[in-house]
Amino acid sequence: MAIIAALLPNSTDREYLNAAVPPHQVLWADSWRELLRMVRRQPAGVVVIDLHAETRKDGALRVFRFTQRYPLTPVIAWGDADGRELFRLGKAGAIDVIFSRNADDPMLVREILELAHGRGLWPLIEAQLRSRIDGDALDVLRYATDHIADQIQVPELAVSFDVSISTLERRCERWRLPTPGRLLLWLRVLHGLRWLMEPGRSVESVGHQLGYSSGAAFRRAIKATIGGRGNPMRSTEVLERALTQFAGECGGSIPISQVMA
Amino acid sequence: MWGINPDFTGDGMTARYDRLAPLESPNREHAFPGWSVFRDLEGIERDADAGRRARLRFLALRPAYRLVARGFGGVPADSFDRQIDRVREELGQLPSRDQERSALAALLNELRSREPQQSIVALLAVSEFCEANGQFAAAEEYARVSLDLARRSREFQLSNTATRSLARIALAAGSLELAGQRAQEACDHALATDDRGEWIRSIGELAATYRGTGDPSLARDALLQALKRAREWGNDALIGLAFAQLCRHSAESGQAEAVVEYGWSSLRVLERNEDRAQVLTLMGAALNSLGLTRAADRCYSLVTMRANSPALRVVGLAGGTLIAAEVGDRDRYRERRTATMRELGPAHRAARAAAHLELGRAAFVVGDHDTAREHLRETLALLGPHGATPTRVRAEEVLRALEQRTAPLSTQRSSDAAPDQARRIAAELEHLADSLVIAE
Repeated sequence: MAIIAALLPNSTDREYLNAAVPPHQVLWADSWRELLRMVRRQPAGVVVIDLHAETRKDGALRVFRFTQRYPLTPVIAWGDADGRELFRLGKAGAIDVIFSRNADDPMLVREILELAHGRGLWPLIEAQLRSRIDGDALDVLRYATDHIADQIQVPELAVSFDVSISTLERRCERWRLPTPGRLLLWLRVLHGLRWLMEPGRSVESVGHQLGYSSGAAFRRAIKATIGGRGNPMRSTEVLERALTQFAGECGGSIPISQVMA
Repeated sequence: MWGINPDFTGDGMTARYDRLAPLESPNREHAFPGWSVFRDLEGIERDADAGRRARLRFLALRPAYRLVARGFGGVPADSFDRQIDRVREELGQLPSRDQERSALAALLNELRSREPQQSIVALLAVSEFCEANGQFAAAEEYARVSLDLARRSREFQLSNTATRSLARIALAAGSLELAGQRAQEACDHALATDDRGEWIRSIGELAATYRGTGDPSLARDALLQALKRAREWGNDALIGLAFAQLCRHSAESGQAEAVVEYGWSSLRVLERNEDRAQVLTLMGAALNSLGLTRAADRCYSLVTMRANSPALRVVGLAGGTLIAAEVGDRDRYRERRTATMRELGPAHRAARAAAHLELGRAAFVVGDHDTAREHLRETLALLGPHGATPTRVRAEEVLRALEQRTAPLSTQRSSDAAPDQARRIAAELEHLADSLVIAE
């Protein structure tokens, strides 16, 4: 379940989005200012913005400013855009568009939301591990990744797969994955490092979003996983290195000879 | 002026000093699905009609993305049909006889059928339409989506056609290196799937890129190699196709005798009427330049009598007009010019540009300089700023000659100087049955 932050002043539009979002949760903003504040404080996976939410505001330019601050948070524009506005929206960095005419089709809206949500951390993790660990292990990892923003803990992860904590631990051992606790720690750090690449976020706010009591606690978690001290955290290289280290720690249950074949 | 935000015009919504439009376009992978069609708006994004049309091209392509992402069986029928109906409603913004409206409506009909083959062919048809109208970004996007769909549906023959289309579009847009890579890819795929006809057509595209890089001999070698393979395969239609490619190459290289010989060899064995009509237009121009005007006129009249495609018809009519001007038959020149102008409407932009070039040359020959200038400027306007096509180069040459008041750039020679082989073919052409180019 992901959090969707939405700026849709029109009540009908809100109904349409509500009809399409389950199982995701929607947080409603009443203004651009509130939307920015919301995204800074909440781990929003996708943002939906009505281009004409506020009068005398250039919607595409607002989207551009948002994507400058939060380049990794997918923005879906909502409303009736003409050719020029669509042209500008693409340049502004919107990830997709939902036209008012299609908004009453929950299937179509859901497809667009899922596609946007799919551009998060999971594709990066999957690319690293797909050929090395088997399908069941990938399912657990996918579920945990999707729910990190909800501050998922080991007991909830075990319950989601209808097993006890000790069974989940044994399975992780068999799949040659880290223990469930360590797995969640890694995923929190990877999420955090990815969020930190957005200029609009601070270590303190990301730490809070991930359930840490302070920025310092989040820093300790980073140190416990990727190591290092006083290194810059806001860079693509750090995230890439962390992903490689994580993949290294996940030994994988598929023999290397099979991977090479 | 204090306190006025310079970013916004009176209505408060539209940026006057647009900060977004001048930004670099995002990669296809980073933009939202279908956005690439808007690249055609670069520099003209404030043109309301261009914007409306680009939006419709974008909307018509969106259902195809769903098919690519989820497969033909994976998209809910109700939702898919509703989406198509809504795009169809929006097509009503265009005039009822608008060519683009018809092309997009035909695509939506085929998509609704959810038949992979029909959908892919329809996407390629729109791609071709966009390319002929100079919208290269839209043409590329439609061809890419058709390629993705063909690969997903395991329609290998159509995926070869889509790859070749991508090569042709890149060449038309002036990206020679990319065109070469794609043409090579198209050749490799066609050979790997034993799609011989597509292989010969792809070799034709590869040869065009070699010509573009200034290596016509390499282009000719490639085409002769294709002809050799076609002969080894012993298939007349393939041999005809290889000859047609050589005919096109000779026309681009200005070798009129070779155009006539290769064209004549291909004419009787080519399977598609459209291919035959194209060869006839090339032969018409070549025969005219050799001074064999009766045979040239016959080629053009065969095309105008029998071809269904508006593009081929106007090129044929305009060619006939030039011949009438060059032989000094003013009445026929006026009559044919009027007929050409009447038929220009439904033809695509590239054909209209080619026809205006021929009309400009004809007007120059009869001494009507103002009309000639109008036609040539119209040619350049229709071709737009992108791509260096031979038509543009020729139009600029003729316009330069016109401005300098030099003699008309007639390439026509005396028929006595024509080689025997060309004269023999011309004599046979004059008695060729009308049914050679059969209406489809």
